[in-house]
Amino acid sequence: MTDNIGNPDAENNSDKQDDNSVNPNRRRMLMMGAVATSAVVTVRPAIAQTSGSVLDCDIPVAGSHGYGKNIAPDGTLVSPDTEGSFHQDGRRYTANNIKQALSGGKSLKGASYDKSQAYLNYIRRLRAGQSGFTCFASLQYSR
Amino acid sequence: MHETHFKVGPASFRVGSVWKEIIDQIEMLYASYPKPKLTDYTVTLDAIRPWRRFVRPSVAINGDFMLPDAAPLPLSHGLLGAEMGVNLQMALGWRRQLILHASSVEKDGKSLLMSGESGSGKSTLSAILGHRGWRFMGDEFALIDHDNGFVMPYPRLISLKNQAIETLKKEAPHAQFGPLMKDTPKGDIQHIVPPAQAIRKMEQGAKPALLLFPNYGYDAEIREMLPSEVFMRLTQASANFVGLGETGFNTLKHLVLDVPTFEIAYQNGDEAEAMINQLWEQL
Amino acid sequence: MANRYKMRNVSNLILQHLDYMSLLYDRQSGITHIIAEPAPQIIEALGHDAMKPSQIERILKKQYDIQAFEDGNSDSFEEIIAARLDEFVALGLAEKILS
Repeated sequence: MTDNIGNPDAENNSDKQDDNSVNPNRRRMLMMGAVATSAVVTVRPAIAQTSGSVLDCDIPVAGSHGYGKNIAPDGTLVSPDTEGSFHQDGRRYTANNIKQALSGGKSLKGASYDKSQAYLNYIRRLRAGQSGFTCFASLQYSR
Repeated sequence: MHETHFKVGPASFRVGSVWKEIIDQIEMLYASYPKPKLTDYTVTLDAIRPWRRFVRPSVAINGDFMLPDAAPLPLSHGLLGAEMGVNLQMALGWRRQLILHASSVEKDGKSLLMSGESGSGKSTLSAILGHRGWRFMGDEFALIDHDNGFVMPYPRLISLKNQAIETLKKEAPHAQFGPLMKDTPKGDIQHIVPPAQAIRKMEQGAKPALLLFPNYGYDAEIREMLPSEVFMRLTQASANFVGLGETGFNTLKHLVLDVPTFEIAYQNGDEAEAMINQLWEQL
Repeated sequence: MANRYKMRNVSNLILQHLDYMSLLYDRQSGITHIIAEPAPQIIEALGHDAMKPSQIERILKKQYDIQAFEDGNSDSFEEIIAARLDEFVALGLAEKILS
């Protein structure tokens, strides 16, 4: 179903509200993100896609929402005393480095294999509104 | 100039060449395909210079749709040149359906789509499943109908790369194979003729019931994908999404909203087949 | 901050919610955008009207429990909304009416 933009009833019957609310009495949450976190990825023609076009962005591991936390092997943010978790200092990795690491070729720069895997899992879990998400989304285009 | 005609799914091609041996190879491998009188596209395999027909023969791929700077191939890779030329016509010219870089197979009137990068195993998996109780529909392009969202078959010759060649020789020892082309720009390549029923039923589409993104070479894992991620991946797996405008947008939107999608990681064909059967039975 | 924004040619936009991201197809340019929260909700709040970011914030607050996703992020909702609108302007989807 396509939403009717500008329809005054839209706020009451948007399918998104219906789909996502577990409890119909509870209002849906809206994630605001941050000023600097872009919310748009534009679809480009696949055939004109060159590796250079989206590879100039970078992704911090972790973003500000992970301040003071460690990264578990599955990519979740955990308290720094969690056994088997990896320290992170918000270092930014280039899209190119991440792309190579995701395709299994290399580890992230300066990270051991296990740490690199944990960081990549963190990147895979990025959601809209978190730093680096749009960069990760645009990486889908060049893989 | 020598030439031959053949039809793959809804699209028909005329391939011409100054070298008779290339046309002979194509005619032998495409022998069971329909021979159309009218063709949608022409592909020619010419010598890059007149004398290069004889001296270090070098094949230039030309056609109705061309990419500038396409590198020529040695004559021994002529069949790959024909494959690339035909692919290019579809990728740049076809508009009747949404084209996805995806393999497809059919069972009980429903189709399974598999998309992914080259090396993901989508092509090999479709070829294997085509010999294990599924109808093979295509190893490279899936054509999505704009009206009813059906997957239309495009069962061209299956293009096997590297280890997939040995895998299929074990899986289908009696199938018809083309010549082995070693060290092409895509690695070692050998074509295999799809099972007879794939060609016989090549105008019979099937409603998509499951979409998978296989990942070969990783520990077994199944992960459900969100529609937005699937949409993003498929826009990049489509040769003509942008060119189709609103029609393509609607066709892809419905596919993404209607078809359950998973990423599967696997180490070998048997493992992948077990996961596919598990997901298929849960539908 | 007092600038107002208006979507261009709303009737030529198709908005389709998927999950935490939505699709926005622009018939005029033939371009598909994949947009993350809160961008789709801002478009819906604007509709055919011209509004200031503060007005949009009020509408969104009526409909949603607004959450700042990133801890330690001090951007105000109004600033975030203005930033998303400026993105729309840059993409040719909206216009900024200078006051």
